[in-house]
Amino acid sequence: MTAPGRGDDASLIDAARTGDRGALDRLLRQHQPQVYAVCRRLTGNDADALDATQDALISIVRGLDRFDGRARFSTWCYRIATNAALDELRRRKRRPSLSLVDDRGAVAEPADPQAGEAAAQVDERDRLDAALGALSPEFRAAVVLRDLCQLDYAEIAEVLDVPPGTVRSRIARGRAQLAELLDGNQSDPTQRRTPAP
Amino acid sequence: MTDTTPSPASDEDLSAAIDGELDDGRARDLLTDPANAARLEQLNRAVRAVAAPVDPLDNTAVDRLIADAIAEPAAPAAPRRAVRGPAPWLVAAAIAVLLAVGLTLVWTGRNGESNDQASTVSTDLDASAANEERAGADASAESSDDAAAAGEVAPDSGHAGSATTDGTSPATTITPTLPSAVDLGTFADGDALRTALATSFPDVAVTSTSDGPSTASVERCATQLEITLGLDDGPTQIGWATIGGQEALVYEFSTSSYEDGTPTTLVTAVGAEACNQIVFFER
Repeated sequence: MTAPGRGDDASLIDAARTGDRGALDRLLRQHQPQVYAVCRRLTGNDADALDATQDALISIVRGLDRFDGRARFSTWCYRIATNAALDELRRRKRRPSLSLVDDRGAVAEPADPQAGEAAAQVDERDRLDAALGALSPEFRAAVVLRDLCQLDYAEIAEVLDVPPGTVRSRIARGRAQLAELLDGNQSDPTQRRTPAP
Repeated sequence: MTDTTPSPASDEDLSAAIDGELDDGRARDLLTDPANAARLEQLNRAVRAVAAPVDPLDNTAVDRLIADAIAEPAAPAAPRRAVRGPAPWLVAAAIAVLLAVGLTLVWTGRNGESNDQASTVSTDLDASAANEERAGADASAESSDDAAAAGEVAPDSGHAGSATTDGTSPATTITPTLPSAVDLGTFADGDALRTALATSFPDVAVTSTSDGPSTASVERCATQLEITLGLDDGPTQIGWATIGGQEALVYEFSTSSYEDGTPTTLVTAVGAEACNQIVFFER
């Protein structure tokens, strides 16, 4: 997933700040796919992702004057989107939810898997959503920002406001847990090689 | 001294090697060591799964999201979908109603009307809120008219719990008994108040520096909040404060979450004169 470049944004940001609604519209359209993608991966379902995306876009509009240009605009948007999605997750914690992750920590197979490629893709997506949902939000955010958004460790550290070493650890531990969940590995967690933080 | 032994490697090193965040020599050692192959493949499967593209939103949804974001006012709004009752647009419309009613009441007060009249809340306001709910997304535009109408009839309507001027039945009493108000002190802004009340509402007032708001003012804003927020019960706690130089009333309501019906507490501060919302949060 590639975010728009710095040059594409600068003129739009300047124009949007002077009240050019067309420029603001274009700016939001350029970054909305990345914002939604982060929200979708972090929240794990369409409805919450839509709410988080709406919150994020509103925050972007409201905070545009405070964007100082030190980071890439796309990184700034990722930060806002991540916070919006994590806020949505906190709100969702109070709601009951169905999970595909069973008591042993493995992602359960769908009870009635449908045939066909489209159904398989949906199953795959559901399994990923369930596996990501089983990670702590901190690990999930680090993994998504790295593997979906292709941010480097320094950028992720900036987005999450944690040291790069913490980013490295969270990504490693998040991926390791994800690999276990997606593979349905029931091995003793103490035997896994991920070091303690 | 750096340990250059290539295996067995930790997940953290393997993961960093996958990301190119390890120095080239060390990464090459790890990635080419057969002892790490199986684990690398497992981790890479996780990487590929997360990296799979997310299905984009359809154009209609994108148009709506962006239009809503651009149309959103600059001032912070109440939390979305946080409480049972009004939709976000209705909250915005209700704030407009409160502002219009408040300004009208202030205006009437300045023109020689009695304070009792100014503190009156008409049940027509309830009807106004209901009308806005039916009006859908265009409610904010229409709400000004509704608010003006409510403001016009308010002075002639009954005060909550008292008889009307024409001797008919009193208006609906929404806040029959209110708890005593406590002086919460002075705050730089709404965020400072929010921080101070983040966990609980103080039972004991700070050193009082004023006589506090009038009972009529406390009742008027409480009633308006109950109506506009769709609350069944009156406030459980009331205080007053100075927020950013503005005299404010602070209310705490016990209600249930809009999302799942679980008990929740709403805290809101409004301007003491016009009942305009200053801060609103849930805990």
